[in-house]
Amino acid sequence: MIAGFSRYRTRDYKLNGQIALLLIQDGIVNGAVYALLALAIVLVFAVTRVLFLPQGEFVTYGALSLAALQLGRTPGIVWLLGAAGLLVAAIEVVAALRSGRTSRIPRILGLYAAIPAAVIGLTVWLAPQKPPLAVQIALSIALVVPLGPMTWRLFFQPLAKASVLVLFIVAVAVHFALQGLGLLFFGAEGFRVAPYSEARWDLGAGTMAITGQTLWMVGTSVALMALLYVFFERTLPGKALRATAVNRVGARLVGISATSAGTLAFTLTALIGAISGVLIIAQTTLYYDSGLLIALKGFVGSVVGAVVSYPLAVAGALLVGLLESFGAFWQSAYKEAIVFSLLIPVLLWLSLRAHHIEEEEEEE
Amino acid sequence: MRRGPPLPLLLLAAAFLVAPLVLPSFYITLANYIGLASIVALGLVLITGIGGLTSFGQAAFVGLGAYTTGFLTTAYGLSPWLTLPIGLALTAVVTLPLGLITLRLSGHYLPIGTIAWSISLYYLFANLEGLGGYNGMSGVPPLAIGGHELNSGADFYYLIWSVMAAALATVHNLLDSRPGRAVRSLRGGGVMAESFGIDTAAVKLVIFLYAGLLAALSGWLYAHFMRYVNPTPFGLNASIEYLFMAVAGGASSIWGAIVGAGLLTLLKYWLQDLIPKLIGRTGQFEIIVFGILMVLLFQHARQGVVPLVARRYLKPRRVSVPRQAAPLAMHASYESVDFERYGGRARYCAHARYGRLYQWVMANEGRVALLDADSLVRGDLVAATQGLGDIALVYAVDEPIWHRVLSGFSTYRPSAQSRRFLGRMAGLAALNLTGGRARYSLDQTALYVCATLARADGTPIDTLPLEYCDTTFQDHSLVWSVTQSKQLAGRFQELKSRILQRDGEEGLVLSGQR
Repeated sequence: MIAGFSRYRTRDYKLNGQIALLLIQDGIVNGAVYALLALAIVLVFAVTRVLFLPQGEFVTYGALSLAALQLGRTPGIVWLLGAAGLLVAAIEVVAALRSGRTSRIPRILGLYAAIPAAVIGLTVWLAPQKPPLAVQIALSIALVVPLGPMTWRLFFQPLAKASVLVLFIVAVAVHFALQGLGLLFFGAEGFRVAPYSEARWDLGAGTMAITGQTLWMVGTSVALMALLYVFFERTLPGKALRATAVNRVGARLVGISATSAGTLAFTLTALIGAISGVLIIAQTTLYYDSGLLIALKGFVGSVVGAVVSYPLAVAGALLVGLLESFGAFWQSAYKEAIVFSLLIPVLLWLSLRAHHIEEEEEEE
Repeated sequence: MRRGPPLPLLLLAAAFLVAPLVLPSFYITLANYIGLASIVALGLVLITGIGGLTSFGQAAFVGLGAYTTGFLTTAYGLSPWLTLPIGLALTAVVTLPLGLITLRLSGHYLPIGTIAWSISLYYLFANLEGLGGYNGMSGVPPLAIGGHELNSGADFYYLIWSVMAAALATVHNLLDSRPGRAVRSLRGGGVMAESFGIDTAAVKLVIFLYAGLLAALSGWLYAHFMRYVNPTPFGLNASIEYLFMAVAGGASSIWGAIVGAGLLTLLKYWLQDLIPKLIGRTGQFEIIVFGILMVLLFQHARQGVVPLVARRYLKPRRVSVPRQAAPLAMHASYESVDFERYGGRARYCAHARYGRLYQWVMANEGRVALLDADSLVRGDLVAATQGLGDIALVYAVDEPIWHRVLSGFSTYRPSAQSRRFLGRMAGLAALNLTGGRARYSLDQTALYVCATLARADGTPIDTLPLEYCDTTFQDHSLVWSVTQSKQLAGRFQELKSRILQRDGEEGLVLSGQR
């Protein structure tokens, strides 16, 4: 899907060391982004038990917003952001009035009405002026991030205690709705933006080179992962999220609100999704419905880590990237089938392991 | 169970029979689509609503059925009646290994696995040479019964709905049988079913296979109805729509399959007609409405449409108490509870009952009766008077799983081992709670806390000796605690009082009187 390697694929090529290196490079670049998404998926699942398939829509929203801004258009999702913000604000204000906590109202209005309004205003004002790239990227991300907590509040918080299965079906429903809205706001055509860097460093050996774009993608992913690490290890909100992930009831008993943990997790996941989108769209053309396959590849990565381990999820996502790039070289028509069939051995392994644990329990 | 079909059902059947004679052909076609979809949705109801599994890959199985017959009839000129068993066999060959791999995994791997194979099969259909690529295959021959070719929509209407009726009858009979009760006991994790000696893995595999075969059958019908096969109707979106149909209709009722398929098919056609007029563009915009409707359904009526209507307009089936049922030795009054009449209070009684039951079992070691899988889901009062004890357990099918899990202890002969088992059941109940199956009530929380405490002290839940037991009533709810030692009990009491002070905060709902 986000493969830039089709340009290397011609009938005459046989796999040799050089092409293998190119494929590995492509695989790592794509895998780095899948790894970010896999991290987001693990994070949301651990904290809220939601297998968040609509993660892919945050990716396409961020990416297509940037593309729209580059064309000097106002991204359509400003209206989605405004409507969702107003809806959430209304729900929260009513809830606050009912429970008599009127002191919370200014904060609610600030979070769900004022901030989105500011972002929308800024976007509508700046979009026709074609601001510098950095501003465009910041705006695209700022448009998507508030959608994270709003998604949580509107769709998942009322169901916070439902089973994993129910939450997953709801996540699929939300994916459906958001994908349709993506079609509504961005249209059916695909977009792509120019690479963020045209730099190239030849590594000798003729065609082998590292591009600036590669460094941007891998560098951003690694930097973001490092930031997440610091966030989870060093800050109080990060530790609260970890506590909730380890034991929801226990965390609640020591005063960590599951609701605010969910809000935070969804904010982070929207941030990661939007950044991934901005990275990907410089690499390949994205459509309104590209999010599903991208998110699913993150899922495959996270399933390799059994949806609980962060380092394993990253490793799994890199594996997905490599498999995809080699699969595209050998059988480009079947590369999606190849990537998803990776799940079979992984699930087989998980199932054998699960069986083993059951047996152990039986023996006690 | 009902003795015979009631009048409304007969009228409905009559309406079905005459419909093609009076309706315009557009509606016949629509009814055919609904019939085709409800065959698939019926399989999903069986695995999702009744068996507690979820598949996002049913459309791929429909595709297997459709492509098998499409390919074999066009490329090799085989008779459609020959391709049907081949298609079903092929589906079985694909389903069984997939099921073997994924079905034994916990809840969420199955949907992820099914999404993955759904996408894989879709790309396979679209890219395999000889299957016509994205353009598909045309010229699929019509079905012929005894020389009569089924060309018109009305002909197919009768065929499709006969198949649907047969499938419905089969599933209905299956669910009423002993294996069917085993299927129904799967919902809610299957731990309980296993403790009754049901091979849950085998049961899951069988219903998964059956749902796959129903889907392939629908695909076979589809190919000969449309006379044309292309990959689009067998993609992930179609699978999701099938699942929505099953869930919207009411995943726990087999009638939900028809209602859900009907509602969503009609809604889809209506929206595809309406939305372009509203926004002036065409496209798959109906998925926005579908998605949001589905979320609302789950937030407000998770049981689906059929149970919602049934609860409001149909007389609930009375829970009957067999005359020969011996009363629970100590607390006969709790056993004469009529669930319907007591309405909201029934749950409180259920809390109390299990608490008392537990005490009673503790006090009467050696006299606990055995129950079997049938009693698990029969939904009425089961008297087990097998000489040893005179204990009766009540299950209502819609009771939260933890009630049923908790009562599982009575299946084991009492001994040191059964005490261990009880401890383990407490732990399992606690885990089930954290799975969000019920809102927390106080005794549930108590169980959870003590299980956590035990774990924190390095004691595996299933070896919890249960030396300290505390049962009290507070605000009409039962505070029930089982902890390892007096020392732990002190800590537990402290935690309990803290929980009590947080009443109402963040969903720790501390009451049994809801």
